[in-house]
Amino acid sequence: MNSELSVAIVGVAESDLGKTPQHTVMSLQAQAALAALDDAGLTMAEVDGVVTAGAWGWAPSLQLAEYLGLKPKYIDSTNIGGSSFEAHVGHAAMAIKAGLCEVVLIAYGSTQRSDSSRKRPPDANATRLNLQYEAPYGMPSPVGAYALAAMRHMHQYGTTPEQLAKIAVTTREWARLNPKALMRDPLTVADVLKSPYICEPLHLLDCCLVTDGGGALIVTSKERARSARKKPIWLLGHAESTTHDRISAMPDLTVTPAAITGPQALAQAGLTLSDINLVEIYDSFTITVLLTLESLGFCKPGEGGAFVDAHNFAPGGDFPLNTNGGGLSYTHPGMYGIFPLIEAVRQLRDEAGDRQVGGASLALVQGTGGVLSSAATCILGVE
Amino acid sequence: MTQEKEGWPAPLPTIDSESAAYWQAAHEGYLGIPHCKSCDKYFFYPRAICPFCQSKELETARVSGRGTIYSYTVVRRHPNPAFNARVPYVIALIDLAEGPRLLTALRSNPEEVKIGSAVEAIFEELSPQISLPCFKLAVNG
Repeated sequence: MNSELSVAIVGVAESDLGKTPQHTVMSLQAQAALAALDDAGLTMAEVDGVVTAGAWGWAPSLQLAEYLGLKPKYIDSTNIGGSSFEAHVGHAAMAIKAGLCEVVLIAYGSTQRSDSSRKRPPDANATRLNLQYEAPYGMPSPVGAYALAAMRHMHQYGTTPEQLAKIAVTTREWARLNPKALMRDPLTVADVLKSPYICEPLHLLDCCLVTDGGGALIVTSKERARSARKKPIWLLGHAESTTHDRISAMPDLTVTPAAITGPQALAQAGLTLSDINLVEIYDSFTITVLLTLESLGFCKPGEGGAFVDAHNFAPGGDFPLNTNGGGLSYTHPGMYGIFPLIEAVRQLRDEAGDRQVGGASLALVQGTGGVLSSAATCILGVE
Repeated sequence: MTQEKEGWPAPLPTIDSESAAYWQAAHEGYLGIPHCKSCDKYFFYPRAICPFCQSKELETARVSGRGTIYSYTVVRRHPNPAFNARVPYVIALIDLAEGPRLLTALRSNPEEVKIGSAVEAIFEELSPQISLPCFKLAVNG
């Protein structure tokens, strides 16, 4: 490990999760922010960086700063899809290292589940620019794009629906240990395979949940981190990339941009995959996890299915993965990327309760956004 | 009932200055995609500069409309009732004979669709002004 310990996550929290008709996207973020600040032993008055992403505002960081009564020295609304928050941690670290600010709040909120029962006009942007070549065909996005990737992987490498289903099943096993998880009933491979197809070859239970919810992270400098309420979790490496926007422009449907960001973030940390003992991977769909494992290099291209068969991702297994129950079974409010970061911090602090992974000291958190379009990796560790 | 229950029509493309030639070609019944006169590559979708060499020396080329299936999915559920009424239907990524890949609807029996199969372009009228390039399994595939 050659990374200087200069920036740490010192506070994490979720807002209310599930179905939250009593909340707006703003109140979810305020609730999570206050809880994360309390977790850090800091106050709102000390926040001088505001970072958020969402489709709910024209300039979300401005809307959030106004709502919270802040006049920050650093603001960022970078939106690269669900991986935005892994990118935000890196951006916050750069801003802190550059001396622009000291205490950065990264927040997210979504009421997409409650919104789905409300009237919404069609989105005019959905047929503009590069979307004009996709929207008229009735491509359900994002699920259709992930289905195209799954079908291609199955064709090219013989990956089976059972191997994908197994990812949903082991993730559910973790959710059963998480009191905040939405789906906590036992799940079998047969259950996944008999759930209805959404887009072949993906079944309903290959897909993430649709929930409301939010979360917050507090990122701060080395000096501030030393006086935090809890053990600081250090950012050791960070990288972000994109290979395409629409799925038709993805160079190879079996390789995600995690193939770029994983090695880059590990190199920055002076680590290799074999040093990592906790892995949290964005699981929008079961295929997302399998492709990401391959792209990060945990197995060779095409061997994701065999990797699923050879390892046990469930509690007590040899390869603990998505220990909060993931987007598949815990929560998935539109963009999920802040939640694997929250979980990694809790695991590294040894405060994950029934789902604590013994000896977790170095975590790889992998965000994926859009339709396998963006990737951002954070390497986190204890001192 | 609510607007959502009744649904909304299948969306039409918002045609712009860069895409007009592509949609005009489709309306005339052929596939017209950008070709770079500088590096001699075809690409999709139309844009002001070549994504390979950044040249502005571009033309709309009439291509064969033939290609192969790179991947596909059978859509079983769609949030837009206008599309949901048509399920199951096939969405596919087609590698055109000239190189570029595009997303399209494949108007063939889902059970006969396979990755690697040969396909050919067909054109469906969406409005009096707009036709949509779709594909079907090639007769002599």
